[in-house]
Amino acid sequence: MAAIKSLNPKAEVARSTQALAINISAARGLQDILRTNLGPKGTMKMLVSGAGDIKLTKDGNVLLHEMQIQHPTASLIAKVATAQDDITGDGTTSNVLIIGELLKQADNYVQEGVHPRIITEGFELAKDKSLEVLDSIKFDIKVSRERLIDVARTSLVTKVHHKLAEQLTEVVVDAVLAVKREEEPINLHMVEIMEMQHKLDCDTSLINGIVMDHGARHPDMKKRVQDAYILTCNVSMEYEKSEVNAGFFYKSAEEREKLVEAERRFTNDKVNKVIALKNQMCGDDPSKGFVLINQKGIDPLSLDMLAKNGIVALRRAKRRNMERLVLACGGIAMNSVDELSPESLGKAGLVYEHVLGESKFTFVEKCQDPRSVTILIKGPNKHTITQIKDAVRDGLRAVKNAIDDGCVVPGAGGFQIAAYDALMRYKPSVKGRTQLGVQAFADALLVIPKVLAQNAGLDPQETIVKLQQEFASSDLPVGVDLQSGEPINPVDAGIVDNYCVCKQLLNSCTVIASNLLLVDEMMRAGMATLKG
Amino acid sequence: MPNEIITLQLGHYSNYVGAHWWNMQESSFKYDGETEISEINHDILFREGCNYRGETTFTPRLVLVDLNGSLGTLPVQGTLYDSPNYGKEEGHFMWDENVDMHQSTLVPRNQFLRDLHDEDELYEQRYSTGATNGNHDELKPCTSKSIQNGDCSPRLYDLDKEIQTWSDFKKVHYHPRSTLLIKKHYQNTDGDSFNSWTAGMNEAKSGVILGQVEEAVRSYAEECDCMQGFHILTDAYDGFGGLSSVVMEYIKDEFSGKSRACFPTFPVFSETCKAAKLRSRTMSSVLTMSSLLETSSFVCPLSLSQALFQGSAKGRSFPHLIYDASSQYHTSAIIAASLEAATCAYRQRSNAFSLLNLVENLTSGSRRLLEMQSALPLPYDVDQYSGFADMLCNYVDQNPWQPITPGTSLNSCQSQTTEQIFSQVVSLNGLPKWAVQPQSTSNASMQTELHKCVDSNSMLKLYMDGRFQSSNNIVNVISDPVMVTTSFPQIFSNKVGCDGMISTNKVTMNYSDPYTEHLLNGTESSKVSSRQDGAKNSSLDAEVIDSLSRKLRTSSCTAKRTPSISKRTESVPMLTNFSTSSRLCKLLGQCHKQGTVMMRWASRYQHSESGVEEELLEEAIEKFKTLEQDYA
Ligand SMILES: Nc1ncnc2c1ncn2[C@@H]1O[C@H](COP(=O)(O)OP(=O)(O)OP(=O)(O)O)[C@@H](O)[C@H]1O
Ligand SMILES: [Mg+2]
Repeated sequence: MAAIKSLNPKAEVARSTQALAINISAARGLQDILRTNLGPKGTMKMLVSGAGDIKLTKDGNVLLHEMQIQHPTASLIAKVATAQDDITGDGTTSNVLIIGELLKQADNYVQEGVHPRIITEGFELAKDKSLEVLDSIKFDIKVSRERLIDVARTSLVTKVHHKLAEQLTEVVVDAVLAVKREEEPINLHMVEIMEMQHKLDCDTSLINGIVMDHGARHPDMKKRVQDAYILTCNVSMEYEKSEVNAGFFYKSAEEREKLVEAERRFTNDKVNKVIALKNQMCGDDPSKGFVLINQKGIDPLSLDMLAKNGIVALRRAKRRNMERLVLACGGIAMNSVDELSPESLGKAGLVYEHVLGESKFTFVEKCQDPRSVTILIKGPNKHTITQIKDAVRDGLRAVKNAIDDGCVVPGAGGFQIAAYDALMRYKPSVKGRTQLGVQAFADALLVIPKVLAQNAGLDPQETIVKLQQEFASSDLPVGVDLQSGEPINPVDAGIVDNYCVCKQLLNSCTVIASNLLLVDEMMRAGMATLKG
Repeated sequence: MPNEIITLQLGHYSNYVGAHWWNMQESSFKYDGETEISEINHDILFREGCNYRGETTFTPRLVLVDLNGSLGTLPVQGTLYDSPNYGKEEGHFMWDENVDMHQSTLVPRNQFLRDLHDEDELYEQRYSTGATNGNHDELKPCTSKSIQNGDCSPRLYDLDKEIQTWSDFKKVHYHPRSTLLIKKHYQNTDGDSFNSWTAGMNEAKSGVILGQVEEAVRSYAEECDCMQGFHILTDAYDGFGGLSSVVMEYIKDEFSGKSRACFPTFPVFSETCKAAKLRSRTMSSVLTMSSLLETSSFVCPLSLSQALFQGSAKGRSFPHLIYDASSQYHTSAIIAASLEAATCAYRQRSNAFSLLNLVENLTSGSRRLLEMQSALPLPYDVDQYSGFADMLCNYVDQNPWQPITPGTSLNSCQSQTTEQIFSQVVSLNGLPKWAVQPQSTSNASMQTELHKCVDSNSMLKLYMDGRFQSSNNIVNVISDPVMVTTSFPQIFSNKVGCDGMISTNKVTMNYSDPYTEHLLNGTESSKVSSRQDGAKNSSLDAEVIDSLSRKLRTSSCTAKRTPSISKRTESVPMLTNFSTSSRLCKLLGQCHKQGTVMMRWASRYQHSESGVEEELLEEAIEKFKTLEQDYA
């Protein structure tokens, strides 16, 4: 128990019945905060800090990270829910809702004297059954752009205004498709997200290439070049008095002078090698551009030399852009200029600079078959940009998940309605009071369609009844249309969720709800989950 | 060429020090109309930019990290770069459904911040009218603005009780990319989650913060034409120690040719704490010191604490300061003033002495630990000395300064003969010209070689070379004093005048400058004649005299024994020193010893995290041991 105390010195050491009550109230508390978030009709939350900082979000994950949760149980649930997001990128809100609901349903039976262990056994059985349902209801997608657009849209409409979501949907899908390679796992790091704060613009676009947040540092360098060779390197082009040859080792001023000169010559040599390659490739053809993008510094003298020779040079590029540039333009990122060759160069159709206040942006565009692309987010202020950025990240994850899974699950409550139905048919085959656990689990799943309906201003009970009737009379999945409250086929309506998200939800909710029910074991189990 | 330096402030206490330091620098800016160019090249530490309103900005080239909830009234992005339509048109596609507002209670601003804010607004108005007249030139850069209306005595504040965090006294605007927060950990919660070195290390390795620091550093570096290096201020006793260890590794790799001046800072821990807390503090200090010694060009620990590794400690005493050692606001101010003065050595416009030169002169091989010493203010007593030489003569067997580096002199009266000083870089700031005029009136028997020197530079050099014969001494003289205006705590004893000169006799006298005194009293002072040629403006008009005497009247009636709000020291001459000496053995010895204690503890109580720590501890102990010998 000493370990528990060090987890939170304030943790109340409660006896089991009390502790269960505490756990349930904490879970419900968290549920109350997040329930209004769920679905496209949920409430946007605007958090304003004591200093006036604004955060605009509808995302459960973002919200949980903003809250300072002190109650150990609530904080445990929050950690599980955000872990869900770390793994799959979605489903935080659902996670909190389902855990809360599982505990509430279980509590009804525990009040009547059923031992929590019996309930948790039922949970376990119901979970396995639900996973079966999930596997039967999921349907394959042949990585078609249309289906992926459904996936992206379903994710995005729950985060930003539907008009903005519309704008973002294709951007997100095309970005993932651009970086996706046959037989290789998708690396979302190859989608750069760049932001631009701009008074009036609120527009997000996909750039087939790389956008960098800096520009050339010499007035004579061109602001726009076409048909450009791109040299990506990590080579210092600065004259540096290094600490190694410290002052008092020189015998005389001349000697020092000589060394300084040698150092400068050493730097110039490197620059000259770049110039030589430029001349070899472009000759006197003024229509050909040559752009040097360096991760290290380039000092004014070197810039001067480069500018005189018609080279556009950027210094101190982001480390991760070295890899991206090569994927976007081709060529090799060079760590030395000794082995420069035409093969080390990439190509871009257009490179230009855009100035905005004190910031400069360089667009490296019109790349052939770029394997790294940029999503450029423009917004009038920081918090709008952040909100869009969060949504774009979620969208990218959703599309990647769908491709990785190779399948999707009907949304809008479609899966939960089907699972409830299956569990009700399964229940009689379960022994004794364990059935109660199965019942509690099935009821808890319905929290999703209920809250979706409720947030849309519909009557939850009435909606559920309608959906269940419709489901009973057809083989097709049935979800709720949040405009009318009527049953729809979510697949036809293009409302689809990620398979891996649903699966993860079932697993983690069951584990954590069970742990919280078995209070005596709670803390230790909680610790184990936290470590993972 | 500006020779830019990028500053990092990692941790809450370091941010206190930083806030004071930037304030001091800003107070020494010389704005519009003044023909005299400042001796200090402010472009080294500040950058010029342009905000969304098209105003020129001048902000520190700074990246700071603190914990969630540590900013008080300061928005993360600052206010300098607010977009003009901030808050008005709330987004294009806002949200059709409900929007829940969750407004935290606004943190109230103190009077000082309110006044700064009003000034900003005023400036804003002036700027917009000025801009329409096409009248840009008169407008000074948009940092926080100093008092404009010709009133030479700015409003006095008693901030001591108002300060909750460093933003409560910060007047310099930071750039929006400067401020980074570790979201997961909260300032001032009982969770104490960010107390351990390992917590910081983990946050750096798995969290987003390292990436953000890299990104901000990179974008400042990209702007620099001829960057010379970094100033790194870091808390070295908690999670920030771990964070800075990782950050420094990045900086060392990516900016290998640049100088990295590292200043681990420690507040005075005046309250006794639990054993566990002391342990994590000690553990972090030991590991941080060891790691920074590996990655920095030099490491100069800074603290007013008399003992680094004890549960509770006292603050060092300074002859003319009355300060509260438990107040971070106070102690950080003293550290900041010392930094401001000592770093002038390589921040002068005229002098080519660079950070690299400092490194070259003070370090060799692995011997990269430095000590800082500081006289705040310079112990120049106008009643006792008739010139700087007199003052120096008084310090032939004691130092004119106090150490700001902890653990180097456990016992101040210890004989100094055994210690060997290898090298020092001394800076003298703001000694008035009249204090170095040849003193004909002094007693002839008192005349020494020092008295024959014609300027303070040679005087100080002679003093240093005479007193520290084995040491390689480099001397810098800056004529501007260190500015300790409005936001600086009022910690000077009542013997210190407005100009920072000390007067043991005339306690209520604010102007110790004999020339002013002469003007005010109309009495003939022996020192006046010597002052004449040094005076910038030999005929002060009646108006100035009038305003000066008015000020004197108001202050002399209120400023009695206790430091009072109405009397305020605005600038101080200082004498500071970077040095490397055998004294550092003591600090290394303590690190070594504490490392061993930690090691014993870690191996006894195997806990999940100690695996990494043990290995690093072992390394650290080895390192301290060899270094101890290097310094002996
Ligand atoms: N157009 C729609 N009509 C009905 N239901 C929808 C629609 N779009 C999405 N949903 C449903 O909304 C739910 C997801 O809501 P939401 O994204 O707000 O929460 P979450 O994914 O649980 O948590 P997170 O906040 O992490 O995203 C899913 O059950 C999904 O099927
Ligand atoms: Mg979602």
